[in-house]
Order: sequence, then C-alpha cells, then structure tokens
Amino acid sequence: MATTAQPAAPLRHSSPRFGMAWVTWRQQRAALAGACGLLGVMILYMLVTGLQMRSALSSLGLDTCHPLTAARCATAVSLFNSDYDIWRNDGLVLMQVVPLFAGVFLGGPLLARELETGTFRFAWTQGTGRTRWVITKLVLVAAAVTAAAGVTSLVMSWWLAPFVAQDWSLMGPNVFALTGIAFPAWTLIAFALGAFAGVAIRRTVPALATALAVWAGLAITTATTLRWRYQQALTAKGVTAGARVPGNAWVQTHWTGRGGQPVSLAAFHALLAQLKGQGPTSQGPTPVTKTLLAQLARHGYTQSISYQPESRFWHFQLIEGGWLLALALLLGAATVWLVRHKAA
Amino acid sequence: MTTVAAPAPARGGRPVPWTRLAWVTWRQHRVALAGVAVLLGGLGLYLLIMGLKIHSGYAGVTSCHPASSAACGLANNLFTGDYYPFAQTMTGFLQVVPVLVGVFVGGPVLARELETGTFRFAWTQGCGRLRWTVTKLALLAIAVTAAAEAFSLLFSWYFQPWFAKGLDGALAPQLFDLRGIDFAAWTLLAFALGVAAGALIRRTVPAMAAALAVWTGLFFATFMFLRKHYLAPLAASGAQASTLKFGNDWSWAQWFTGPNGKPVSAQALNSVIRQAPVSVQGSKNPGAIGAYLSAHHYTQWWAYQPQSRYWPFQFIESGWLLALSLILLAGTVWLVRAKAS
Repeated sequence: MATTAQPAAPLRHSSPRFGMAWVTWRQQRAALAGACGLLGVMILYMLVTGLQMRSALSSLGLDTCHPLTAARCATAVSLFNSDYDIWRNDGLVLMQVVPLFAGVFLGGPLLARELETGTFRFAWTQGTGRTRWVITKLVLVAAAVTAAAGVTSLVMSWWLAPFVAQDWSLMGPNVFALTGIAFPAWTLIAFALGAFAGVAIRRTVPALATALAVWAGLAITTATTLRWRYQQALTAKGVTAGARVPGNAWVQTHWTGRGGQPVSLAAFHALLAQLKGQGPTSQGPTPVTKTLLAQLARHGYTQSISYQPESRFWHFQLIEGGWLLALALLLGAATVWLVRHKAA
Repeated sequence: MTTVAAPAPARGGRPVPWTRLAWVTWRQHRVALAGVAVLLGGLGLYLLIMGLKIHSGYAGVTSCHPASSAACGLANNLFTGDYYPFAQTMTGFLQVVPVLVGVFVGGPVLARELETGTFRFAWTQGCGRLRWTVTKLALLAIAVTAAAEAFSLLFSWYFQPWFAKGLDGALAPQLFDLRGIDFAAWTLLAFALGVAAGALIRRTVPAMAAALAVWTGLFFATFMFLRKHYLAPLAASGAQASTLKFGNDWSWAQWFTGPNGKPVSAQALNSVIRQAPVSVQGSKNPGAIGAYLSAHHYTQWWAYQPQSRYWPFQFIESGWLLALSLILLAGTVWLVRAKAS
C-alpha cells in the first residue's frame, strides 16, 4: 500500500547523496576489512612489542642513562639489543610489503572485477552515471585505506623511538618508507596502481600482478637510487672526515683521485696494493689508520663521505609524499578518463 | 573422419594420456608461469650482474697481502661499504618472492574454474576430475618448486662472499630461508595454500588474499619464534664466548648470572653497575663494566645455535613445510573428489 501511495519519490531521487557511498561500502567491505585487518595486525604487533621494549628499557635503567655511549650504559644497551635487534632488523624488513598488499588488493579488484564479469553494464546504467560511480568509489576507498595507513605510521613512529634514541638513523632504506607520510603515500600509490591496472587490463589477477610488479620496481628504485638525490648530499672530506659526520646520518663513502674525479674500486685496489705493508700487527686487520689516510692523501686520494643528515627527515618525507601523491592523482585521473571514454 | 574411425578406445575406459593433460595444464597456466619466469628471471639477472661484481671485488680483497695491514683493512672496508648495504636490502625484498610466486600460480588454479563455472566442462572431458586435479597440481607444484630452487642456488652464490668474510652466519634469520632447500619449501607451501584456499573459498581474489595472510602469519611466527627452538639452544658464558664466532653462530639472547650461579634480573644487575666507581661508570672503554662485573663474579651468558646445525635446521624446516604442503594438496584433491559441485 505504501509503495503505491508515493511512487514518485524513489524515481526522482534515484541517486541520493549517500547512495553511492553505501554501494561502495557494500561492495568493498570485505576487501576493506582485509586491508584494515592487515594494518590492524601490524599495529597490534607494534603495540605489544613496543610496550615490552619500554618496560625492558626502564628495568634496564636505560631511560635514565645518559649518554648511552658511556660504559655504565654499555652492558644494558647490549642486553637490550640482543633481545630486540631482530625486531628492528628483520621485523622491519618484513614490513616493507605491508603498504603494497593493503593497497593492491583493494585497488586491483575495485574496477577490474566489474569489467571482467560484465556487471559494469548494470552498474553504469543505474542513474548515477559512470563518472560519478568511478570517482565516488576511488575517492572513498582511497581515503579509507590512506587514513588507516596514516594511523599505522603514527604507531610506527612511537614503536621506533627506543631505537632512534640509540643514534639510529630514520633515513635508512629499511625504515624511511615505513614512517611519516611516506607510509600512507606508498599505500595510496599501490591502490592507485591497482585501480588503473584494473581498468587498463580489465582482468583482476593480471591487474594485481602488474600493479604489484610496478610498485616493487618503483619502491626498489626509490630506495636504492632516487631518494638519495632529493637534495644535494653534504660532504665531509679529508683525513678526519669520519669524525665529523653525525652518527645518525645516512652515509655513502667515495674516494676521489688527483683531479677530484671519483675513483673506481678496482683502481683504488691497485693503489692499495702498491701501499701494502703498512706494518702488520699481531692480531686481526688493523683499523684504518690516520697514517694510511694521510699517505693516501699524499698520492692525491681523498676520502669523501657524503651524507644526508637526520635534520632533513621531514623535508625528504614531504618530497617523497608529494611526488607519490601527485602520481597517485594522475593515475586516478587516468582511471576516470579511461572509464569515461573507453567504449565498454 | 578420424573421430568416427576410432571412437572405441576413448569410450572403452582407456584414459586420456597424461601428456594431453600436461598440455592442457601448460595452455591454461602459461601466462602465470611466464609471469613467474619474468619475476625470477629479472631478479636472477640482477643477482647475476651484481654477483659477478661482488665476486671480482672479493677476489681483490682476498689477494691483498699481508691481510693484517691497514691498507688491506681499508680495501676490505670499501668493498663492504660498496656492496653490503644493497645486498642486505635485497634480502629483505626477496623474502616475499615465495609467497608471490606460490599464491599467484596456486590461487587461481581451482578457484578460477569454480568461480566462472568452467569446472562443469573441465571435469566431464573423459579424464575425470580426480586425474585432472592431480595432474595439474603435481605439474605446477613441481614447476614452481624447481624454479624456486634454481633461484635459491643463484642467491647462495651471489651472497657467498659475505659468508666467507664472516659478516653473516648461515643461520641468520633473513638468510636461512633464502638458501638451501628452505626457499623452495616455502614456495611450495605458498602454492599449496593458494590451491587449498581456492578450493575452499571458490573465489580467486579472496582465496589469494587468504593464502597470503596465512602464509605470512606462518612465516613470521617461524622466523621470529619457532626456528630457534628446532634443537635445544646451547649456552656459552663469558670465558667460552671468546671462542665463539658470533658472525657465524646465531646468538639471540644474553643474560647474567650472579655469584651464586643463579640468573640475575636487569634491575639487580643495574644496581650492581651503579655501585661501580665513577671512573669505571664514566669510562670510554666499553669493556670496563664487563671487567668490573666479572671481578665481582657476575657472568655473562649467551644462548646460541652453532653454525654446524645449518643442515639439520634446513631439513627440519623443509620437512614440516613439505609435510604441510602435501597434506594441503591431498586435502584439496579430497575436496574436489568428495564435494558435490
């Protein structure tokens, strides 16, 4: 009775404001639950181990031991590291791929599944229009997963604090992308790559595989070569270079020859072979002595240590977050354009 | 004409030859297998190029005489500084290769046919669903496991100089599972998990995600907690510890025992250290406190697994991984046989 009494309203308001949001939620809730579950497990792990580390720090007296390099702290530092080194070394290594999985498994099937199974013919003719349909889906899911990744990143900063207190660099390749705004940005780019690959390839599993491969290539290139070039590295040269570089900086060492040009490792080995016989000592290789460095300097060879100081952390985060966000927006726009213009 | 001429063998119960099924398997999964070849091939090429550089650099270091001279020490430092950090980063990324290979090949094998309904056609072609499943699973499992083992051998060669230099032990957690037979075993498990999840969930992407999650959980638990308990760890105290090669043996825990031979808590140890003379507490020599503690009969202990247990550990881990994979694959075959579609 009620339906016959007022049939006009549902027809006129065929696409209420939150209608598409509701559809997006209904369609993606399993995937969203999966991504949030993944990030949730990571957060839970960090909370449990982070509290353990803090209780170990206070029971070892490290929270009141200054400076940490003094002998009275050394035993406690060594005890702490023997228990928790595996978490910062190997644990962090395993976490590198979390943003990838969280993003790709949401983005890959988002549009590819409709295109692959043909349900897009139904979805695009429901009065919403395909443009609004694709924009709503992309924006809502992207915002949700990026926000969840942002929360994870905050917990990560808290978790890392005990290690950072030990002069440990946040600029290093294993940790930079897991903190600050880089972590949500890498999650967002994984999502955008997945969504774009889904529309371009129109099949779910190949789209997932492609997005995964592109993300991995991008991440490895950034970590190994690109990030170092965000800003001109500072340089310390000469015999005392090592002492002047802060302990928590991100460091690369080079040798320059007579004309100031970089020396290849092979050429350098040849020179060292000529200089051999620096007076063998009784046990083990001697540390690199100032005498040797001075002797090399006489041959025109200078050690130059390039480094990115810790103070550039947020600057680098903004650069990396910025270009990832720009790339993600471009991919999003390309995805919308493909949906609008490509005949289905 | 030929089909009319010789219909009897097929109808008379003579099964379709295995080679035909192998051909169908190849045709259906060649894209996934090509993807695996591209992934492992690309990474392998990188390892080969870097490995040649590292090996030639290492030859330069070992030919430096006398090895104890400062010049050779410097050459050594430079060699390590140039290649070791990237080698470490690479081992991080390589941890996920088994799960990617296994899940992307294994996940869709059954799930795609079940999801799209093509199993109705596939299972009624005269070879029977049982033989169809067994052939596919066996061939693909062998293919991914063999590819993973080949890749793992290449990685072992690539990383060899760092072991020779004593920078890492063979039992180091992030290296142990990339070498020996362990890498192939983890790949096989990922494949088996993907297949089993596909048969249970009957939808490709959720099956892949589920297999990925289960594999990661198992891997993480093994890596962090389980592996160190395969054999009872040994303990070494202060005096013996100097004979241990900590670069090679795998040590993960330290503690102190007091004058009565019982372990002391961190608080108790701390209060002993606070009683030390100011000259010792503020000393720049990191060994000063250790000397003070041992003079007061506090002994430092390490728990460790000796490097000689590398192969026993490889066999233990690969053994349970193989057993679990076979159980999962057998369970999948049983599901396909027993479950009415």
